[in-house]
Amino acid sequence: MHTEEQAYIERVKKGDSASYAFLVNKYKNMAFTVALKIVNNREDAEDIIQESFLKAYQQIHTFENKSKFSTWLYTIVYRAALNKLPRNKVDFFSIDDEAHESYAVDTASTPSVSLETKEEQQYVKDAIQRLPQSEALLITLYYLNESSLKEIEEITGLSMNNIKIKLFRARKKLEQELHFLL
Amino acid sequence: MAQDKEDKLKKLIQSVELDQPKADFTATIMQQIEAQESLVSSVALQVLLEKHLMESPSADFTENVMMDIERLDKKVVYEPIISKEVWYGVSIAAALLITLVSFVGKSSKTNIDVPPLANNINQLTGKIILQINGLPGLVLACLFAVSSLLLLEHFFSKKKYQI
Repeated sequence: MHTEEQAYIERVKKGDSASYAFLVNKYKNMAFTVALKIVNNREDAEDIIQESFLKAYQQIHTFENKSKFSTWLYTIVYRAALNKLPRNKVDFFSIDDEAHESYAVDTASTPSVSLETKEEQQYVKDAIQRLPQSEALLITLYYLNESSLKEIEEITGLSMNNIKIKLFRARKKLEQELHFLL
Repeated sequence: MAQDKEDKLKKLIQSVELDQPKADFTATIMQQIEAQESLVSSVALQVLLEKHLMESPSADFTENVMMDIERLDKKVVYEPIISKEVWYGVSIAAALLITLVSFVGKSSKTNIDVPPLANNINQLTGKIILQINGLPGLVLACLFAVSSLLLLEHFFSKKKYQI
C-alpha cells in the first residue's frame, strides 16, 4: 500500500477526521462508477457511496491493512449497492449465463470514419451498457481499478472461475464491438 | 564388446523414469501464457475504457461527506443532569431515613421512652407526611411526574450514546 495513503489512514484512525477527505477524493470516482454499474441510477449511486464512505469512516479502526484500502472500501460499496437492489436483481450478479446470450454486437452501426472524443465515449459507454450488469462491473473493476482477480473475488464474493469466465466473455464482446476504436 | 556395454548402459539409463514436475505444471504454464496473451490484447481495450468509463459524483460530494462526518463527530454525548455522587447521597439518606423510621416505629411499640432525636425525626416525618397529604392533587401529580422523569433520566444516562 502507498505510504502516503497509509499515513492518512493512520491519521484518521487517530481521530483526525479532516484527513479522510484525501481518501474520499481519491476513491470517490471509482466507488461511484462501481455503484452506478450496479444500480444504474446516478442519484441512488451517489447516495450509496455517501453512505459507504460514512460507514468506512466509522469502521476504519477495523481495517487492518490485510488488503488494499480500495478493495475494502469497494466491498462496502458493492454490498451497499446490492442492498438497494430488489431481490430478483441481486441474483443477476451471481451467475447469469442467459444474460450474455442477449448481447448482440452492433456491427451495422460501426462507423468507418475517425470519431470525435465525445462520440467515441458514447460508443464505449453504449458497448458497456449492453453488457450484462455483472460483466460491466467486473470490466470496471478489472480495467479501471486494475484490481487483481483475487481482489475482485474479495469484493464481489464471486468464485474465481466465474470471474474469469465473465471477464473473458465481456472482453471478447467489447473487442468485437469496439474493434474500430482499438 | 564395448558397443554392447554402451547399449546396455544406455538402456539402463533410459529405464530410469524421468523426474517430473508437479502434476499441474502444464496447466500453470498455459495459464501464464494465456494471461500474457490476454494482457497484450487487452492493453488497447484498457486504454479505451480508462479514457471513457470513469464516472464522477456531484462536484460537492467530498464536501457533503466531510460535513456528515463532522456532524457524526460532534454528536452530543449526553451527561446526566444529576451526578452519580448526588444519587449515592440520596440513596444513603433514603436508606438511613427508612432504617431510622422503622427502628423508631418498632421501639415506640415496646418502649414508652422514645429517644429525643428519634422522637424529633418521627414528629418531623409525621408532619411532612401530613403536609404532603394536605397538598392539592395537581402538585402531587407534578411531584410524581418530576420524580419519574429524574428516575428515567438516571436509567437512560447509563446507556452512553454510541454512533
